[in-house]
Amino acid sequence: MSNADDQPAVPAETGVGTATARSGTAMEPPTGRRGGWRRGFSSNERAMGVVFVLPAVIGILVFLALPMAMSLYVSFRDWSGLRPLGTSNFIGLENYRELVVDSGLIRQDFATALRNNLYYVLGVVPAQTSLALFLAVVINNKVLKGRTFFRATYYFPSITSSVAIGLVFIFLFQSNGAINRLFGFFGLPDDIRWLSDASGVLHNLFGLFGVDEAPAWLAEASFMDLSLWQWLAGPSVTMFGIMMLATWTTTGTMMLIFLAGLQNISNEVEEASKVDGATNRQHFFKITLPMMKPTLFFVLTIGLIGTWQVFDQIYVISGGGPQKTTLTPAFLVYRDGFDGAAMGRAAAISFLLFILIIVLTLLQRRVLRPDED
Amino acid sequence: MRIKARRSSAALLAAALVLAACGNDGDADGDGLDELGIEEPAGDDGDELDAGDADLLVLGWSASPAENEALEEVLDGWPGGDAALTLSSDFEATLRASLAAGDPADVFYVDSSRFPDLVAEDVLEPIGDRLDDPDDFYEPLREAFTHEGQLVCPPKDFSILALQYNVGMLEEAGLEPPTTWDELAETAEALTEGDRVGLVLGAELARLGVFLHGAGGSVLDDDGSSNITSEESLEGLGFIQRMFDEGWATIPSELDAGWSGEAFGQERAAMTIEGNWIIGAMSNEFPDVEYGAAPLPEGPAGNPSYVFTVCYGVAADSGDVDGAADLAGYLTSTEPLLEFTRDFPVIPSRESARDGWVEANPGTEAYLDAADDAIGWQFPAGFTPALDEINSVLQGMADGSVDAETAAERVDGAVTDVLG
Amino acid sequence: MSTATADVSQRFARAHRTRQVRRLLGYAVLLFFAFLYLMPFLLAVSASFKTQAEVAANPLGLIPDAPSTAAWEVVANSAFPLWLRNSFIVTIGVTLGRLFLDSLAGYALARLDFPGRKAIFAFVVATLAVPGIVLAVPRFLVLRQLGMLNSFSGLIIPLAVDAFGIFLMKQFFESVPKEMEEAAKVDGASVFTTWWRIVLPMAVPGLIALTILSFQGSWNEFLHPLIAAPTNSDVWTLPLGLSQIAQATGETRNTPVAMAGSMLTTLPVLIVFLVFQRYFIQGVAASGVKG
Repeated sequence: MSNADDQPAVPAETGVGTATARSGTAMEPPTGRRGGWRRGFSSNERAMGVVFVLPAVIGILVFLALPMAMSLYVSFRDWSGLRPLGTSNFIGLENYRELVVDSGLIRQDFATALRNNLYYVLGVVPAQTSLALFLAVVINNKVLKGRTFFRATYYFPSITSSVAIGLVFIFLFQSNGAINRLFGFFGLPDDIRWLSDASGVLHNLFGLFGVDEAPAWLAEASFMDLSLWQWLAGPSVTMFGIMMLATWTTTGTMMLIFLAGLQNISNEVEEASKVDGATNRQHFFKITLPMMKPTLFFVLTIGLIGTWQVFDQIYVISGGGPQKTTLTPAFLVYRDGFDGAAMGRAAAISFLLFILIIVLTLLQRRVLRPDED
Repeated sequence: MRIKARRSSAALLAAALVLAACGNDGDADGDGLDELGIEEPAGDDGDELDAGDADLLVLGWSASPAENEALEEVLDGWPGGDAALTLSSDFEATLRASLAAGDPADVFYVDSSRFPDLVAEDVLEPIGDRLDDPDDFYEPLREAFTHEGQLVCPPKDFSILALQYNVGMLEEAGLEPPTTWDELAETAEALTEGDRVGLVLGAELARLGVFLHGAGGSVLDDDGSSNITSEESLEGLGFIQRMFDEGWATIPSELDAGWSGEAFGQERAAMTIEGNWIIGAMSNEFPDVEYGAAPLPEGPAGNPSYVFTVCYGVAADSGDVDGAADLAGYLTSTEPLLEFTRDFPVIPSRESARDGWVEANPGTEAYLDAADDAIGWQFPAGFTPALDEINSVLQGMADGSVDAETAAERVDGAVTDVLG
Repeated sequence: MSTATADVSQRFARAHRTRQVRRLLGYAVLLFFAFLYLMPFLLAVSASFKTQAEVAANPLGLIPDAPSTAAWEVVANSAFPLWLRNSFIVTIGVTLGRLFLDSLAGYALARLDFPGRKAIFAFVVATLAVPGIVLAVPRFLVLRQLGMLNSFSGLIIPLAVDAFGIFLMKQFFESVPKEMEEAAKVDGASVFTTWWRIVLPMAVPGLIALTILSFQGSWNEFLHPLIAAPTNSDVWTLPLGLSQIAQATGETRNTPVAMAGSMLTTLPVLIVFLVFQRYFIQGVAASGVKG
């Protein structure tokens, strides 16, 4: 995303800019540290640089950095959220222990939330990315007419409020609603209980092969108070519906980003490869896809970050149910902090989530890193 | 266009500077409209909880416009001074915000289920000894708001579960409202046909729990430890399981409804167990459905109902605890209670208001008769995760994936984990 | 006719046919997905003009049997108009704030040489990875401390500071040629004048992209107003108001009203998008991809 962290930061020259600005000598000799056009700008530039970034930096410090620090602080305390923070006590790593180490309901809920969200990410990220890329490639085909219309159409769900989308979802996915009727029309099962079926999609799949019960070795072994069989449940039917919804709403944005990337490369490369006589498929996999790698990386990164934070849809549609199968870490933060009386634990959950996202993003970056850096 | 943009950016820079200034001197009077140079619309009291010119601030939630008006009127009648009222539709967040800030409303609604958390944090000033005739409050209500033997806050009203039945459907089948569990099962079976189900029940402890108590069981015993694996509790769970497994009972979402009352109103279910709040919903949304309310059917150990009640809590951090206590006392005296509950169906908390209320709300005896033996809807502080697990287990029972034994085991584990 | 030319024309005809087939296939795909992406909205609009009974009986019908504006009247008579106004105030405030702050900071980071530039940029990028929910609890406390809870300032200012916009604008400025700036500098223009007169006008596509992204983002923002304005429904924005009048569970569902509210929430942002969509693609093309 940036190359800033690959290079050592410029040593801070605190005070220099402001001091010279005050003295009013605009004609300080260039430092010679850098060549090029920058030489012309002077101490005035230093001062203005600071002035230009200052409002944004103050804002980030106050509304991002400070809350982060406070979140960390709260996570070490037994704060209920029902009294001023000062009345709470320092309890060290207790909140974290409850979530990760101590066996019990708290850890089990956290594990359930992680499992649910993991399946959500594993389903939504590949689906939205590949569908977006597919649509972008089709729309980028200059032979087709009306592309502006289609582009706008696919983007439409992305601009709609998640709350509004959630309400539309509830309407469409009722047991006697539009989706099931449409399914029935095409001869598919028309009695799916989208809003209340807690059974795992993978479990149901195993069931098709005659595995209805957990094999003993899966039922007995457990990790973080969930048996391996429960870990392998897959998303529940309800969660699966929400995943379809999420894919549907986010594809548009991703498609636009891909489209922009395609338009950047297509002009230069297309002719060259056409002359070489490559077929379309070869063209796509050999030429287009490699060139799209930076874009792909970008899309996957924002997809990953976004899907690990899913909250709005859960809040509106399912409230974590049925049977906790749509509980996610973000929703757990809300439940414990704003519905229960465990603000300290809520902060600890949010911090663990933050660390998880950072680690996964870095991991993905390592695996998929665009070659050019 | 350009000029406009320039002016706006200047305004925003100003806003940023104001923000920076706020950060320095802790000026707490930020109102975005001013900073952006937009004139503030009249009547937009944009800042924090603020009693304005009034002496005291009352914070509650809003059930209906009728409730707002009724409460405003009652407050006007308080001889002790001026009281301002804020009714928030997101009450929980509002209350927390003001409590965390150390600046709560002087008097606020306290739900019986929230009471333990608040008491554990010493948020409430006990005012039981300043109330007139506290024994006049129904006993279960008093109990719900008693801590260490002392009544902390005066209950204002309550709602209570009963059995609602569709008159037409029962008549058509030649049946009477069921009075025992066996009759409930038979009636539900007889009325389940085609798209219609006999009984619709919310898959949550706040409804299904009555079957635990009807069998003599409970989630927690009197000492506050888990009682769910007791024989009585298991019998209750067994009855629940039977009703769902046989298909005589189902949950609202199976009937495409947001809650049981909706499915009942749409006549997709012949019976339900809900509170007296259903009265308002039925008359507003399903005025043509003829229905009746009967006492809960009796189980092996009787038919105790759940009572959901709310008190007027006085904030320990209030600037005028005496005034607030006086206000809470006034609001829970018989006349204001009756006036407040006149137009919408919550039941006044005092027995002395009973006759007046029944007169104004005929056909509600089933609710009132349950009041004396009802069980307060309340759990120890910090119980939220356990309650969540219990409801999750009950959802599992409703869809047949969890049997009574497993349910009891899981609830037992959850309760033990949370209460230690 | 020689065999050679016949072969060529045959190949040409075959290529032509393949192209035709491919084009048809392309349209089929486009139409299928257009159906998939538009249908829910059409059904929602149609449901908002039905009665609850008809919605339940016939959710798939696009034309209501007995069209009724009752749901829209309910919406119009609720606090919706107020929330709509608030949404505009907040969204416009946030968007203007981002345009100003982000382009200012983005320009400085792209072009100006000042102490700590690299470190600040690294810091900005790092904050991109912070999940909103992590900030929910403490942001509430900070807003409280600043006296900004339940006010427009609390709804606007925290969102007006936005690392993504800074990042976007920096990338964009780096793609703008510097000759004009050089010339202005030679003429002795101040940095601010150069930025305001020369650089910003050239950055219009990027600014438009930022406008649309922040309009869309802040119009739909749900978590922040939930935290920042818990007690004052006078400053609630549409998504918050919508979620309060139409909770998913525990209340009788009034689908027509929920749909009318949802569609009303969607309409303004749709209009903005339709008007600006051409620039949006350009803006994304010019800035986002290089990340």
